[in-house]
Amino acid sequence: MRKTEIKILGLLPLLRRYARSLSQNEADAEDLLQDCLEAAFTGQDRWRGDNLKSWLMTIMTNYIRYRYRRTRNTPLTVDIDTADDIAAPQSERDPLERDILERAIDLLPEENRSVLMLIVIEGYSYAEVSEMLKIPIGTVMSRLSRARKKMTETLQGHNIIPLRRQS
Amino acid sequence: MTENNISEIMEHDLHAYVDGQLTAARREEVEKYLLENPEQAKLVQSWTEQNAALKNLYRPTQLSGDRELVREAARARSGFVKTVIQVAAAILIFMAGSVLGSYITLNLGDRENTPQYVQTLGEASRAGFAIYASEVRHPVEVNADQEEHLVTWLGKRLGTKFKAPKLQKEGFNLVGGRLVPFAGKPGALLMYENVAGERLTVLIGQQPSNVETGFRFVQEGNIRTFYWIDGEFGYALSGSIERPLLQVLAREIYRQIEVT
Repeated sequence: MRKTEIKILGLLPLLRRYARSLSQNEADAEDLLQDCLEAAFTGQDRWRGDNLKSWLMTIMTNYIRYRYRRTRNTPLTVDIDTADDIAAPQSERDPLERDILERAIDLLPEENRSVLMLIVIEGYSYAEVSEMLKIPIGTVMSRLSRARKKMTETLQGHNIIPLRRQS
Repeated sequence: MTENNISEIMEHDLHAYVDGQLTAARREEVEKYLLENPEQAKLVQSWTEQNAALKNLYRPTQLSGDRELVREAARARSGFVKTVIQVAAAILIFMAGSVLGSYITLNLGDRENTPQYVQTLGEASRAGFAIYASEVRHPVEVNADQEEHLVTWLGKRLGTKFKAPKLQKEGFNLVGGRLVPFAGKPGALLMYENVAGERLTVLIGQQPSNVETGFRFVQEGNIRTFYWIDGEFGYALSGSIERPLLQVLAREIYRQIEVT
């Protein structure tokens, strides 16, 4: 394996997290990840040698914006080979809460969703996101604000009351 | 801190506060502002909770095929210099692969951990209420005067020992029940009524996975529903009564159905 390949392999768990946060399901996330990697290797001459992770995440963000137009209602299939991995338990959260949260995220427009995820999940600063996506910082802020308001709106429509049985 | 400084705090400061992107000094100013502006503080609180929920939802994940994934992607790059014949061969292989692939795919439904039935439960309950609660002559298949028979019969079909929750204290009497389809299996729909003629339905259906959840509330039109999953069964209470009373009833049902 070459040096870049090893570096990318090390970043893969983080890249997968970002891909999942942009996708409606894990099969779509794997497709996105694969396409992003291929685009990265094809265009690696364009990588200026600075932050590899940010560069790859920018590619992924652009991919989701330009290549993947929302394909709701497509049947969801996963190769048998990868099904075991994908079925691994991910979170101990209440499945109802999880379900509502995922629905709220899926309702976000792609551009607002990616800004929210880059900041909240990936921990980038507003300035870094502005740089990565080549958008003014004001646009970063307004996308973030819209994402949060939309999420709040959706989540408030489905409030959950935590439940503990008295023993 | 002067009034002037405080009034300068804008929405983007609140976002930056939530995301930990403020300088210590500015952070302090925002904190003071929030103490004096409970509405904004509530907003900030909800964003903070949102952040925590999102962080909990997505985790870095390594899969067994990762090495191969990177190799494949790197190899795809050399496709750039492939001869026409090689490209044609690749297309043929790809086509064969996708034909084969379509035979060996496995439908996993929606996301794992967020099963369809979570949604189905509320919808089925709402539909049950909408269809049967307005029935004047035949709201149920078996009347409450044959309660013993009703619970034995429904229990047998559900595959569990089963008792109709008692809601008299809250003013609702059992009208009876019926067998309903739920997620392709037998489910039970019980109906209750108060002296004002207001009705409630309780749907009980089998759940494929053994989990416990909180109460979820949904309202569509004037039908309000609380639903939850408790072990092997899902429960949903629907009615047109006000939410606080419905919630009391849901808790009471939950309490009574405690698994022994």
